[in-house]
Amino acid sequence: MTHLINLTITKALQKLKSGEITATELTQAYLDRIEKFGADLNCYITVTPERALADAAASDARYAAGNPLPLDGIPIGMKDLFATRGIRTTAASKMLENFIPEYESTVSQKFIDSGAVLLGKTNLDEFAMGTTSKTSFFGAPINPWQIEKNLTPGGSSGGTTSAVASGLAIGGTGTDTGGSIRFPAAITGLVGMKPTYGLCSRWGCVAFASSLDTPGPIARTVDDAALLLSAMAGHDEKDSTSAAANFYVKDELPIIELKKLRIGLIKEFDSVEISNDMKRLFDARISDLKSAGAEIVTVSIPNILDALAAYYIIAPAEASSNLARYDGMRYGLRVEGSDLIDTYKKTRAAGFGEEVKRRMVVGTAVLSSESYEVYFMQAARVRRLIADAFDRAFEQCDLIVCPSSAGTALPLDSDLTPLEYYALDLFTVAQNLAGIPACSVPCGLAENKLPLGMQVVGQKFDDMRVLQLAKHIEKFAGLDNKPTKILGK
Amino acid sequence: MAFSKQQLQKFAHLIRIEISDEKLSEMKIDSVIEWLDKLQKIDTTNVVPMLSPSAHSLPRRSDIVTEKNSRDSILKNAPDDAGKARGYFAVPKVMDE
Repeated sequence: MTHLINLTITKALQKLKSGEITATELTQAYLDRIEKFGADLNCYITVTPERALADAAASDARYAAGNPLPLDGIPIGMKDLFATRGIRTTAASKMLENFIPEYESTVSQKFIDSGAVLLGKTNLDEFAMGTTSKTSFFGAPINPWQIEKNLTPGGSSGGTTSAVASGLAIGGTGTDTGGSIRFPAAITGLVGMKPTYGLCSRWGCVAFASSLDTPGPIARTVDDAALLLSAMAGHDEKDSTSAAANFYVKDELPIIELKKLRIGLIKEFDSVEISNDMKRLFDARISDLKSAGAEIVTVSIPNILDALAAYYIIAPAEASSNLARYDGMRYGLRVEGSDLIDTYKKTRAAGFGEEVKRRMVVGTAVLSSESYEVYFMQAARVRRLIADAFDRAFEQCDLIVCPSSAGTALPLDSDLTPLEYYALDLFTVAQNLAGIPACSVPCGLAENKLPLGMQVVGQKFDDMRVLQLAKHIEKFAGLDNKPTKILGK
Repeated sequence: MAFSKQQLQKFAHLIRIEISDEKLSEMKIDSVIEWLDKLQKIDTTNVVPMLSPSAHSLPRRSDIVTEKNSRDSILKNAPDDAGKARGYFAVPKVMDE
């Protein structure tokens, strides 16, 4: 069954259409592999084999009838932040350990409407707050690259990256509030796309920071990511911030000519300390692009190094408001106390993990009357400066490229301070603040044989060209990310 | 801006989280806040705060019922079974005798 596991979505769809394989065979191959390696990798919180086989049977019937849907029979993992009707949705929190939604998120509904097969709900940092997936109530998922080293698959969408890189899903979903799709994709050798804010609906996705949260795809190739994004994108009247925009690719991305592109490098990132490997691979890909005819220019985003601090004010502030709903009254955990207030306090003390509590206290502090202007509103002004600077930069270039991270995956038992963990988001948060699309694509292997990624960043709703340039970089890098190779079996 | 232990406890109380002073100091919240102070140095005179990246104004829709008769479905996740059987959410007493 190995050959099935190494198929990309593009290839699998061809074989499904031609009748060479069936959706049931493909799904069963993934379920077998989950059975074998799922517990070790801890990438799923909930596996849904019955649902998966029923989905697959329905896909096979549509193929037989000659009217397949765009992603018919494609087995995916859904980040356990998207509400799925009748299937436990936990946000990796004890607070929602037993929560079974009575409704379906727009994104997961769109996958149902596209014929995709649901393998299960993938692990993540609790409420998507983290960069290593270690804050999950269910324990951290593991990076399948050099699995004996017990490395992080990144976070917060680390369950999806662990599953896709190890061949426990052909592709999957993530959400990106400050880098939660791109960073984990980068350090697992995958493609992770954070679309333009508003392109994919947030409805039914457990809220972390509403002005930053962006659902998006994680896959092994750029074309696969484009196909998944085509299923996820589109206006949704249930999300008031959903844009009147769409994204659609049939089969594969059209090739964009590099000769016609002007690509920007962010001057301010030059002063950031990154590993020699990241520098070497990034420079190599830039010279590939140059040799192929792209024009390389330098642009300036003056406050981009302040984006991290602005983000760690805005995101916790929004989170502290969003998480107020978990009061133990209508759903979720309840721990009885001596009176109502005591019940709230005991419930929330028991239901939330330490990082969630830290961010909620910080969020409340920066929103308090004495600090609202100095912290929250100042961060919102810096956010404007950054977004405006990106607009100006895109007057001088079509797309921007930058690293996805400073280095390769860290061991799960690394003991960093909160600020050191926050610094991992350095290259990714500004794009969330500005709401612009950014895709992390593999740029090669470091000397330690672990993968690294770089980002392509575009203007709002230029998601297509972001992916088109990423596709060139993917080809230049030529990283072998076949699951059987990554996992060694 | 440094926050005292009492202020941090007040914030924890406002967001209804029971937490010991010891735990609170282990969370290194002060070091996070101190780091956030670096934003104060940036000149943002006349800069309009950006609260959301979405450019469009919030859409409106007609005030019509879209979901109905969903009481049992909503109650399914209620943490207190006693109320559920009667069709209610049962919550702790909020008023004195």
